[in-house]
Amino acid sequence: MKKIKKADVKKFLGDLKKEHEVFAPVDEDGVVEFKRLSKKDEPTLDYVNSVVSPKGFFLPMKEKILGFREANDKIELIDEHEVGGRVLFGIRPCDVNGLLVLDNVAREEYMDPYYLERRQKTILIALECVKPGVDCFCRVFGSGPGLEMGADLVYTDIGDYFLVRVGSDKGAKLLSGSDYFVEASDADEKKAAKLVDECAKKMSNVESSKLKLDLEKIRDKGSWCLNCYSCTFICPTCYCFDVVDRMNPKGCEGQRIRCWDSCMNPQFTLMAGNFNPRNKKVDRFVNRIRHKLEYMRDRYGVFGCVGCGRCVRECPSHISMLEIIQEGVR
Amino acid sequence: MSAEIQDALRSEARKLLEEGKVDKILGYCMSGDRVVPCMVYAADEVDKLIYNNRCKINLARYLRECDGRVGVVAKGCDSRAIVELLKAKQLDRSDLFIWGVSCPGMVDSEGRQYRSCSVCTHRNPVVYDGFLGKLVEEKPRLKDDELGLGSRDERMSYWSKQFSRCISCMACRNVCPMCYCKECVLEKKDPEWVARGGDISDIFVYHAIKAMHMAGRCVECGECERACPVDIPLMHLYSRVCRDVEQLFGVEAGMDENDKPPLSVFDLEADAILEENEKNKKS
Ligand code: SF4
Ligand code: SF4
Ligand code: SF4
Ligand code: SF4
Ligand code: SF4
Repeated sequence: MKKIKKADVKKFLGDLKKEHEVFAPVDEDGVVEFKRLSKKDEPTLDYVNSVVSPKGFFLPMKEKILGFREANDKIELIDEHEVGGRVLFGIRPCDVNGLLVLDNVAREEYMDPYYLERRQKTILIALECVKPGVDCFCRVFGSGPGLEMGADLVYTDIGDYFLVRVGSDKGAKLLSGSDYFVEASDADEKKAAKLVDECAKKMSNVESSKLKLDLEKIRDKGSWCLNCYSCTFICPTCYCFDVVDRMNPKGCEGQRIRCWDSCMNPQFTLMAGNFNPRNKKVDRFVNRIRHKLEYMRDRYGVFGCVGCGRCVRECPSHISMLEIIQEGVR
Repeated sequence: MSAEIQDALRSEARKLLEEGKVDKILGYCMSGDRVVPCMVYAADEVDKLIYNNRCKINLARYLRECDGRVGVVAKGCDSRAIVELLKAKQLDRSDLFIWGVSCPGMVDSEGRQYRSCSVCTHRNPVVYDGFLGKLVEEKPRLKDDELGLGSRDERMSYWSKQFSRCISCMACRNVCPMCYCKECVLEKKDPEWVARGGDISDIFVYHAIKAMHMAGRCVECGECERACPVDIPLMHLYSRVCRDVEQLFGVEAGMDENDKPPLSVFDLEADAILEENEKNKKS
C-alpha cells in the first residue's frame, strides 16, 4: 500500500487534470457539492457527504439523449451522448456503493448506454470515512465507512497523510506514473483500519438481514410526508427518470431529453383515463420505502439504501429512514 | 418559559380531549432526537406533546390536511399561516381550537438560530382561543433597503448563482402552508408552463412564478428555505414581494382574517382595496 502527503494531494490532482476532467467536493457558502476543479477551487475533504449525491455524474438531472431533425422529407437522428475521461475525487464509500446499486438497474435486460458509458469512463477515487455525520447509518448495510470494492483508488485520512489502496488496474496506473506516493508502513495500515473501525462503532447498527418492514408504522410516518422530491433527488440510489421531447418553434428540429422524475410525484403513476394506482400520498411514501428496502433486495440481492443519511438530513417533515429500518428489525 | 408552556399545553390538551371539544391535537413531539409534528388523539397521550426552541415546523401546513375538530399549537408564524388560510377559505375557523404560544426564535440542532427567525417581527401569535406562556417583545422589521441586494445586475448575478444549485425538488413548494393549489402551475404538464429538464431560465421562471404567487400571502415562516436541500435563501424573495403588496394595498399577510386578500379579490381600482383594508385596520 502507498500513502500521499496531504499537501501533495492538490499537486496530484493538478497532474490528473492534464488528462481528465477532475471533480471533487467543494464547499461553497456552506453547501458541499462536487464541482469541476478550477485553479482557485480548494477541494473539501473533511466533509460528511455532498448535499446532493454524485449520482448526477452518471445519471444527470437532465441529459440530451438524442437530437432529431427533419429536412427534405428525411428524418435525421443525431446521437448526442459523448463523454470524456473524468475523475471523481473524494467520493464517499456510501456513494460508491450507491453506484454499484445503480449498475444493477442499468444492466438489467436493457442496457443503459448513457449511464454505462459514463461509468466506464469515470475513475473513482474514494475517501473512506473516519468521522460519521450525525445522520449516517452506512454501517447497517456495510456500505461504509470503509470501502471494499467499487473504486479505483481508496484514500483514508491517517493524519498528515492519506493511505492509498489500489482497487483496480486503472487505479494502479494512476499511481505508477506519479512521484507523490511513497510506500506505507504496517503501522499506517493498522492506523487506517482502526480509524475506520472506530468510525463505524459510532454509528447505529441493526441487523439488516433480519429486516421485516412494519407496514403500519410506515404508513403512520407516511401520513406526515409532504410528497416533495427532495429525498428521491438527493438519494444516491434513486434512478427514476422521465423522457421529454423539446421541439423548436417550427417543429422540425428538436431534442429528446431525459430528466429526473420522482415516485413521490402524483403524476408518476398517472395513466390514461386518469386512473392512478398510487393515488394517495401515503401509498407513494410506502412504495418508496418498500422499493428501497424490499423490492430491490429481492430483485438484485442488495438493498436500495446505502445509509448515506441524506434523506434523513433533508426531509422537511423529519422522517427518518433509519428509524423505519430500526422499527423493522426489532 | 418553554417548559411552562409545555406543561400548560399538556394540561389544556388533556382537558379539551376529555371534554370532547376536539377530536385530536396537532403539535410537536420527539422522535429520536428530532422534533417532529404529531397528532394526539387521546387524553392519556398528551405527555408526548412538547414545546421548545426546536419547534420550527409550521403546523398550518399539516392542519390543511386534517379533518374534524382540531386543537393546534400556533406560534407567530403558524398563527399567521392559519389566518392566511382562513382568508383563502382553506380552513374552517369553527373546526379549530388554537393555542397561541409566543416563540423564542427557533434554532437548529446545533443551536444556531434560523435566518427567518432572526428577522421575524411576529413572534407572538395573532389569533388564538387560548394563550399559553407570556408575550415576548417584538423586533423592529428590516428596512426596505435591507431586503434588497443592490443593483439589478448584482441581484441578477446573486440569484443566478443561487438558482444554479436548484434541483427542482419542489420541497419549497410542498412545505409551504400557502401552496395549497390542487393543481400547481409549476408542474402542470399540459400546458407545460415550466419545462421539465429545462435550463437555468426555466428555473428562473419557476422561482419568479412561486414568488408572484406568494405576493401578499407569504407569512415568513422560513419553511421553504429550511426545506431547500441546497440552502437557497428563498424567503428573501417572498418578503420582498410581500412588502410591495403591503405598500400598494395596505395589507400585511396573515394578520387579520377580515383583510381582503389583494391579489384574489378582483377590483380594477387598487385604491378601493387599499381603502377597505385601511378601514378594517381602524375598526
Ligand atoms: S423528503 Fe420527506 S416529506 Fe419530502 S417526500 Fe421525502 S419523506 Fe416525504
Ligand atoms: S434512502 Fe436515504 S439514507 Fe438511504 S441511500 Fe437514499 S438518501 Fe441515503
Ligand atoms: S413562502 Fe416560505 S416563508 Fe413564505 S409562507 Fe411559504 S414556506 Fe413560509
Ligand atoms: S406555486 Fe403557485 S400554483 Fe403552485 S401551489 Fe404554490 S400558489 Fe399554487
Ligand atoms: S427546495 Fe430548493 S432545490 Fe428544491 S425546488 Fe425549491 S429552491 Fe429548488
